Amino acid sequence: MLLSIKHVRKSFGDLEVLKDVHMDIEKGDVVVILGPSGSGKTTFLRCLNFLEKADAGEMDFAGMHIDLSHPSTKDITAVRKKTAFVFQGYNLFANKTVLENVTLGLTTGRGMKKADAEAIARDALQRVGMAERMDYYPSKLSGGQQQRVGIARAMAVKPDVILFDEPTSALDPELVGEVLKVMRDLAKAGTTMIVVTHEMKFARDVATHVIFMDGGVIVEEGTSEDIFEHPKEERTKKFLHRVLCHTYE
Amino acid sequence: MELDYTFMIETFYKVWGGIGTTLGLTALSLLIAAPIAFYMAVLRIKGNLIGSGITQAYISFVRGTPIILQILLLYSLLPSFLNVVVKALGSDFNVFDSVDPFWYAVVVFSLNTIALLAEVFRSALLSIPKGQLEAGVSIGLSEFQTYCKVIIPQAMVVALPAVCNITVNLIKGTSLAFLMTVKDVLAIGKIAASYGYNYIESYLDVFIVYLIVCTVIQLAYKFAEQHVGAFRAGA
Amino acid sequence: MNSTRVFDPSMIVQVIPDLLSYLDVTLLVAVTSILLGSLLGMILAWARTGHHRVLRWIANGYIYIMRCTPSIVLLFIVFYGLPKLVESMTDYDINDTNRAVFAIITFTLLFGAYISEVFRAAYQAVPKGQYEAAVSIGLTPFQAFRQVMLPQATVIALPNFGNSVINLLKEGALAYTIGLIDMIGKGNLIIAQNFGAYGVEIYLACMIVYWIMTTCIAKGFLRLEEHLDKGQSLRAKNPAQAKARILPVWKSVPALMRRIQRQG
Repeated sequence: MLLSIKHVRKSFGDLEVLKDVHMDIEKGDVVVILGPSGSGKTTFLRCLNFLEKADAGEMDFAGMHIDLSHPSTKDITAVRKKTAFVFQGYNLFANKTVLENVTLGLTTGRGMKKADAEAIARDALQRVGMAERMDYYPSKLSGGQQQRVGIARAMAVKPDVILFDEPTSALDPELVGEVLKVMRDLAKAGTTMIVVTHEMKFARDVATHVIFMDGGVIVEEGTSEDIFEHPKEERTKKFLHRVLCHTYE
Repeated sequence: MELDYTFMIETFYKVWGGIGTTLGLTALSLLIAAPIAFYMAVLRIKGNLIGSGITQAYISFVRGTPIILQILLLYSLLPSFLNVVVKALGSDFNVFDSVDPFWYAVVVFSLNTIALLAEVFRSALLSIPKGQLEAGVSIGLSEFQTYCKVIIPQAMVVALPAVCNITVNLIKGTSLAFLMTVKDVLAIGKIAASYGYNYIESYLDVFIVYLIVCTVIQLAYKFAEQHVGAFRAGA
Repeated sequence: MNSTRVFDPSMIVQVIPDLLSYLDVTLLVAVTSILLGSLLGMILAWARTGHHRVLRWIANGYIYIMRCTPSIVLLFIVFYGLPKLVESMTDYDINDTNRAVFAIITFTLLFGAYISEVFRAAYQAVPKGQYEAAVSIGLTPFQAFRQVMLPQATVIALPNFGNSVINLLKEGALAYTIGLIDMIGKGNLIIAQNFGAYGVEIYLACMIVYWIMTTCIAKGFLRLEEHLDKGQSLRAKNPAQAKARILPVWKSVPALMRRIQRQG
């Protein structure tokens, strides 16, 4: 088991967004989390990287056992060094070039030599097709290009698992494809990924494991075939019906 | 440190008496400056090269020099200048004895405020999207009417926080009027201070008075902002 | 007041060298206050954005009070009050301390309050996602602040910082009222030596010096902003233009020197 999460709870004021959520991931898994907006999937993902502090929960990861309600600074740093996060709004560092964006986590974050970091960064940028734009600042790139750099930035630190938070939601429709292609390549290369997305075709084709969340709980989970071809729960069926009809109309 | 509290309380009432002068000076300067500043703002936006250039130079000079020097300059210039004018008109009116220095202060602070307000008005006018003007014209209003009915009311709301700042700074700035022998809050405090060498007590009084006045003014502006800004989302 | 004497523009030119020899006092007060005030402003901004309620409350109160106090009143309170306070607490007489010290203390207190607002607003203007992205790839919170937040906040703060510097320089002109002989103090001495004559000319001369200084500072800050702005603002539209600005000053100067040496 690479990563195991149990009993995660989280409230914003009176609103309980996560009610006892769990998840187990093996190396090489591509877990896709589906669900209507407000179902708590993004919050769950953010809790995994401590961008949001959970009210309760346990995490077993890379030999560490962490109480999510009272994580130590050391634990937080350790988990963040072994994971990477791809944001919905890209969040490329505005004051750094494309290359610097990718190397920063290696040099400053992990104390790597600049030349070594740049070699890794070049390779990562090559893989997402952004090697040509290494000296550009993010403000000069399209959304799709920025997100591909965001993925390269996450890949470069060689994390055990990459967390994707709706990576294509902020993109214009014609730019979604280039980002999804990069993600497919990553999955094919055996990268462990947890992906929150609304892209049903991607989920169906790529996911090894699909989780359907609604109202802060996991309603149903299984292989992509289980969920897409033979959903058992009424809520899952309704959701799939709604989004699939919409997608293929 | 021991403070002479009886003195401090007595002086507080005296100092408080200067509020009329301080506020009068502030209000008059604002009222005189506002229309001229507005005209200057329009000149900067739509005026020809010369008009826009002259206003820009004026604004830059006033904003680029300390107000205390503006006071010292005009206070050495204005009375003599006025005297020459009066003499030229053949009147035997004695400028040096009969003109209350309060009026010199009004001139100085108006001239200063014009420059500050002009910049605020200009950026407020520029902040209104061009579509507002186009929409006004498209329904048959003249450009002038659109400005009066649509653009200026919106711009005034945008300008309000900055105008509040200018007002607070002006109130604080009028404390320098004592250099022109105007009897405002600070001047009264200064006179009281030098009687018994109770400097610190007097100046603390002055400080408290300004604190009260500025608080009231800022609350008033906040109140105004909430009322005139009703059309803005989230306001 | 001499009403018959005619305005003499040549006097302006004549008196400027004399005034300029005291400009160092004016600048010393301003620069020291800006440096110390920036330090105070950083502490205040940190307290205001932090989680400690009492510190936040103190910082907010301090800034509010400073916003409502005329500089000259604060200057008088410091000048007359501080020696009394120090004397009552330590039996130490600081009445004979150089007046520049009182001016510097006053303007530091003021500048700190103004500039903390600038710092706070700039820091909060950097999107929160920038910080999240930095820690998500393994930077510590301090590294994230140092590498990502601070450089961006600096560029955002620069125009307002420049304005505050100019305002402080202008406020600094008040220092002569407590008897500091700076440029305006010297100007007043010259006027006194001439029994009140040449006031207009000398004040105009001072204003011209201030005008030149403030204009240059404003231009300087604009240039600095362009230099530090690494493509994050929308001002730099095309990449070639942005590229030309990548090299910061301190990196381009040695390169320039090398080029000159090679040619020589």
